[in-house]
Amino acid sequence: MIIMFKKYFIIAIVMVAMVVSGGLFYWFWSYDNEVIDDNAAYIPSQPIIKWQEITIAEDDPKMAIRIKMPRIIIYSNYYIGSEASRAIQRHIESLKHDFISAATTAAIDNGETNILNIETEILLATPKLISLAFISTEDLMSINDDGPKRTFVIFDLINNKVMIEGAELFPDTLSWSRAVTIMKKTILADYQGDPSCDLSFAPRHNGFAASCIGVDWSRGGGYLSLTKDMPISVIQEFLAPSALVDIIQ
Amino acid sequence: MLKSINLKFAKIKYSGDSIGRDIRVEIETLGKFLRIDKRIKTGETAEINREVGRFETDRGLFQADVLITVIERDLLFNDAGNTTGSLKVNTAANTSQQFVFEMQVGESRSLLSRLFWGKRTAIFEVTLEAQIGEVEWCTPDTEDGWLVTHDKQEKPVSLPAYIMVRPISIKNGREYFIPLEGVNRGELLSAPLKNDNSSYLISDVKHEPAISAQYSIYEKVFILNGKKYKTTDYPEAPWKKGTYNIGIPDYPHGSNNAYTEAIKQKVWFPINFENARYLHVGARSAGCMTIIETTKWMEIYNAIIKARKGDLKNVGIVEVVD
Repeated sequence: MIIMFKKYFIIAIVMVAMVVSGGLFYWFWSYDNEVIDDNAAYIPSQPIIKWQEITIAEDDPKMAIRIKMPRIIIYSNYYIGSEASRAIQRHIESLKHDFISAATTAAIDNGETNILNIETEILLATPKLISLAFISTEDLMSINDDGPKRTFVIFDLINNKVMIEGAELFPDTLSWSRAVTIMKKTILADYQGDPSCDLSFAPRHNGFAASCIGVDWSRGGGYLSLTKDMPISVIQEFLAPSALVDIIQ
Repeated sequence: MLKSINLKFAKIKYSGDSIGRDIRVEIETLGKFLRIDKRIKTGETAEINREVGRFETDRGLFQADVLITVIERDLLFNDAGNTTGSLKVNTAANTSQQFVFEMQVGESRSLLSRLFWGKRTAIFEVTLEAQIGEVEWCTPDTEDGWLVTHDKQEKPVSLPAYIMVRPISIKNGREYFIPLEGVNRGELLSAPLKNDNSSYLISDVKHEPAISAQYSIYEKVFILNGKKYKTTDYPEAPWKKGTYNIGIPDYPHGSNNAYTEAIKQKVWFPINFENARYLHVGARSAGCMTIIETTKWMEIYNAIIKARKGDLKNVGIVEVVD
């Protein structure tokens, strides 16, 4: 009798263990395979732009950095807004890095202050993307003024990421290459000299803002920074329809 | 004036009795170590010409102890002998100086063999050669790959890593120098001394032989040292079959925040095919050989940046194939 009882008891224990482990297995399996969609909660809404001004002063070498930058707020998804703000910060850090390198090793220390001024311009802000231009002006001691440099950041709010080289505005790589070739020709059309520069661009309302930054070999490799705003018609045929809607609306 | 001493293992002479042909020579001096294996028989002299190390000194006489070991490698009994000596290099002399070290190596066979053949002894003469020159100074490899300097026209000029330069003078806390290679060759540039008064320039850089890469138009891959890297191109600006020079980087391109894994993304290598063609990291191409495997860019950068073709302009070649 006791042996029979033991037998049933062991069978019951094994069954309970199987049910519990089966349950745990299902729970872990479904946990691992859960599709977490960052965008699921994003209801496209107009981003809110708040401006902030930051001033940084540093010694050795003496530097003053003034930055006017936006903070992006999206009420329907705080996370995406903060990611966009972080992308802006990263870009500004990159501009600061370039300036600090030049102030440290290129500028001649005569006791005066090296100055960097960064202005930010919102070129386009729609529920789907934010397009920004950064105009950085450097005043380095004993260095002739190079003129302002305009660089860009495009943030894709739907996919929650920076559009590197503006690639997602175009349906494929061929369209991107064609558009870039045309924009570069347009920006260099009236330039005299022997330029070698890299094009960067960002959409603005009904058009594009573009820069070509590099050197001019006819001036002994002197710094070159060209900017131009061009109408949408220049590259309209190459744009992805979804991007086109945002730009011309 | 700081001098550079390039110490080479120039040659080895094998004389006396033959104790075997598989000779290993080990040279140790000032923390540098060189081991060379060579097949050589008695009566022969073999040219080696391998660098033991580079040293810098500001003294007229450079002295260093050296330990040389010669081993004849056998399956059972290695025969070994060594000698210690001192190198005394006159750094004022412009000619190279040779130092000969002689050592005897006795054959250590079994007692029975010794009874029949006697003890054989080989004599080895190891010649070291010291070449004296000015220290070769180079630009450092900075965080983003560019050292920003100042030129005579009061413009900033960026130099890539490992550009050989000739120091000219130090004035008011700044060091003046002339690049000896690259697009800024011959220009007088300057950079400040660091806070501890040391130079931004570095020595003890060993440039490497020219790279020989391939690019397959059909496969869209850049092949370097047997490894394939995925690329993208622009079909309307196609590459043509041929061999092209890959240049020393010319100026900083793009920004340094697009690819966090490719920290030297501002360093592009010009390729002398048509206008404005480069090898660089990126996602799209407007005619360049664009490496899309961004995580592997540093592998390519490190393999190329110190390479030199010997013409003061290029790091090597790329052969474009179908």
